[in-house]
Amino acid sequence: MAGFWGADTAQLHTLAGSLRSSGERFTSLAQQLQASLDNTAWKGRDGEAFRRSWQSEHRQALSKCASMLMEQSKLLESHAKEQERASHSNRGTTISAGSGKDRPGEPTGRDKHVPISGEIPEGDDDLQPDKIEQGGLADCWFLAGLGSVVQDDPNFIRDHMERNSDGSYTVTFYKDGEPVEVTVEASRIEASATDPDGNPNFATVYEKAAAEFFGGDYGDIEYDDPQRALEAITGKEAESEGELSFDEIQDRLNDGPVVMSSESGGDWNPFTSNDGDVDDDRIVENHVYVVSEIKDGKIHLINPWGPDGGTGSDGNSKAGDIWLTEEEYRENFESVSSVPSTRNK
Amino acid sequence: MMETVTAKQGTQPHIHGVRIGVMRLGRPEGIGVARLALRSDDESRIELLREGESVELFGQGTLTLRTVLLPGGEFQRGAVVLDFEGGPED
Repeated sequence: MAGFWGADTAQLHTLAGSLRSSGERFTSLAQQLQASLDNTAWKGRDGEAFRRSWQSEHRQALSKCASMLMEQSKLLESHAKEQERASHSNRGTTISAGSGKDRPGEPTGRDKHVPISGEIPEGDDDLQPDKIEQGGLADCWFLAGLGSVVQDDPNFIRDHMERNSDGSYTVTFYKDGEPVEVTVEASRIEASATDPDGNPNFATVYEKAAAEFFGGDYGDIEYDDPQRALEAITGKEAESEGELSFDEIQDRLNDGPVVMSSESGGDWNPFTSNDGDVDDDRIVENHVYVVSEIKDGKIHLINPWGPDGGTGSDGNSKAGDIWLTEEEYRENFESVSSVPSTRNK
Repeated sequence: MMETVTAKQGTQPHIHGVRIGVMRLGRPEGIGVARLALRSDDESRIELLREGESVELFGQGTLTLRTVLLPGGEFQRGAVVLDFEGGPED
């Protein structure tokens, strides 16, 4: 091994993936056993004692194993990333870290990146909120924020996503109002956001750059606050409010991008009638939507999952974009986030 | 051909060109259930599946809800484990 220091990063990623999937299996096993126990009729003192023992000892032991495996997986990913950055630097491909520049990189935490061929389209038809199709990452909070900004000011996105001569892309985000340039290789993972045809687009690049900006791992952009996305993308101070009237939402739309977060329905039982619960035939629970417009007494919301294709074969059920009355909106959504338009310099 | 996918609530993985959106999940009365938005280029369907139930996937194969993972740990808003079997029809 003379002359070789460090590790094969591909093997580190593979090992990290094995640890992660093993952790997931422990979590799944605990859930399955819990379900079996829940479905087992066993009344009396012995049954109660067993259930207490299961909850306080055995289930916790399984959860602990899962957590340890997940933590080790993240540790390996961070080692791999550190080494990849060092290798980039040694090959002289690193952009200067000075002047607010970030180094080019590949966020960790997911499967292998594959190259993006060709340029990302930036025509007027390409830079639209309904051209975003979320994939396997839980980052609706970011993609909806991005969609609302591109709806309000597509030129802002054009100006803040630059293709470099080596094919990489530099996206300018903002931290505490100050610009931070993040450069990423022209590549994507299978779970990346794309356009509705599955092709890489501005959302693919922005999402990857966001993973770098928010910590360097794709896990760093899962489940967060849309206000944070609006501020990182625009550099302007965003605001999150609770339930608003249509008139108030229209005021926010007149001022700039707006997104809306659906409610968590709490304990869910689809087999019983439960008035006031989330309308789960149309609306995704705990999800963030782009507010497109208010027209004829209804609000139009765009799901970052992308538009529906064709006609709903089970009737009219559609998840891609929805029109709601004010009453339906109030029953299903809990907060509105907005930011001043970037068109107002 | 069998594929297994673990999908978090609120995400939308793709299987053979079909988008599988995980709208909601839970375990009412001890039964794991999930509301899924299944969308191809030409059709869309909202399905409610119990653990072990299967649904045909627009001629691409069969999708089975194997397990519902309730919120906790890595899956802070829960997840579903899905088995896909088959491939495009000839």
